[in-house]
Amino acid sequence: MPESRADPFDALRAPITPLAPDPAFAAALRGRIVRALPALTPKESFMSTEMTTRQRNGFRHGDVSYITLELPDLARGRAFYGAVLGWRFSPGSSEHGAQVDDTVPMIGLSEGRAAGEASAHGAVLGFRVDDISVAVAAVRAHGGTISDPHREEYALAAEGHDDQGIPFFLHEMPPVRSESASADREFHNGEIQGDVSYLTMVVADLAAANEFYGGVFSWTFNIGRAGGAQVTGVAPQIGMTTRPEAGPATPGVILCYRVDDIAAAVQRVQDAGGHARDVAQRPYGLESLCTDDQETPFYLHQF
Amino acid sequence: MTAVPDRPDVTLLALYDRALPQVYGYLMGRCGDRAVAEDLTSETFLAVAAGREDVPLTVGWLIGVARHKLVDHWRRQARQERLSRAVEGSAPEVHDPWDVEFNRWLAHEILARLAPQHRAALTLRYMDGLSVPEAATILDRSVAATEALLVRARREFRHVYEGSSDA
Repeated sequence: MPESRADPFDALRAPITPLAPDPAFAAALRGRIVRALPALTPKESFMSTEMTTRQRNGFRHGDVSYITLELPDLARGRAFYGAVLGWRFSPGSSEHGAQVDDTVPMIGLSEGRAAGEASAHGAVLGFRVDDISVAVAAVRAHGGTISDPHREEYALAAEGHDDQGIPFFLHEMPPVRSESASADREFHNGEIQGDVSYLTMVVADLAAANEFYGGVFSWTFNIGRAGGAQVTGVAPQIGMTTRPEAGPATPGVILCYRVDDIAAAVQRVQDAGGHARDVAQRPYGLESLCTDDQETPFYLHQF
Repeated sequence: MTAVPDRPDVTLLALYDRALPQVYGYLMGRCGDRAVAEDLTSETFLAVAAGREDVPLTVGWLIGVARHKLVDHWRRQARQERLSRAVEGSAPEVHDPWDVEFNRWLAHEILARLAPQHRAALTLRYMDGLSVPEAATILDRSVAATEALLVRARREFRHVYEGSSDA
């Protein structure tokens, strides 16, 4: 072969010139790669129907798919909520977590954060989305910060903060079809004791929350009395307030739980080392504002 | 919610931001068409994502996959253009020395006008600087057939080049 001879065609030699493609193309391709990667063995507990036939991860884009309740002490949390709400637990993904069996939506208890990080205390919501690449782009477009999507054992996931600093995470799940429309309505306020009956989001700026959550999840807001709004288009039902009755007025989420007999439940709260205010009659049912034995605020509801 | 390290998928995604401009730049520099470059870039990464886990995940490996995708593309194009029969003649070819210094820019322009399989052969051999046996492997031809293809490709190139220079 005449490889050593000078060859005019050698002038064609072209080293690679790096070139960044269109960012939208790059983001979309990243999402396709994540989906194309070999699926891991699905984590048994997440979508399991062993304990329940109930849909525990929401139905539509923007529904709450999972709640992580961060507590300073996991063992005390298990004892308290087990006694008050009858929760039973399965092992979590690490020794610092526990999976609550059978609640809607799914709940996990978690003991603070990894060493070195500030410990967290309170509920962090996970939302299901139809397309996580699109949702991540929407979060960023609306001023939030979020990781790139990555594959977890149960779903494609991403973790971020809204534009007011409230942490949340996303799961990509296909929309649930068929008979779920009627079930959807039932689950807005929980179905059985121990389910989440309502979520109160404490925000600093209601208009900003409207922009962010409306833009990312297509929620709509009915602005009510000054400083509050009722969100529609999400399960469980969510209310937003700038002035919480309980806890510090820092952005975050307060959980509400459904119980069968609120007087008995209030007694269990007190027996377990928590505090409960007097039961109040509300238009929607009976309510008591409580704290657990680690100063975590929550509500009990009897409908 | 913590990703597990050392997984192949994590590695590919970790490589993605660095590799993407290289792969896309390689393809864009050789096909010159944004839509085609995007398609082939996607094919390249998705093939690696869905493929075996024990491949060396490096930018060089991804470029190699991209090169195969580019050749596949030209092969499809050749089929579409029904040029295969015209250029697959078996007449013996001779090497034809040609003393000329190319205008590089014009040369790359001309490359884009050649029959797809000629373009593929010249791209692999000269733009990418592969040896004839290396190009033969990617083109899925024998070394002798690749040498013959290169002769035909050079002749078509020369024909178009001289036509352009005269014009």
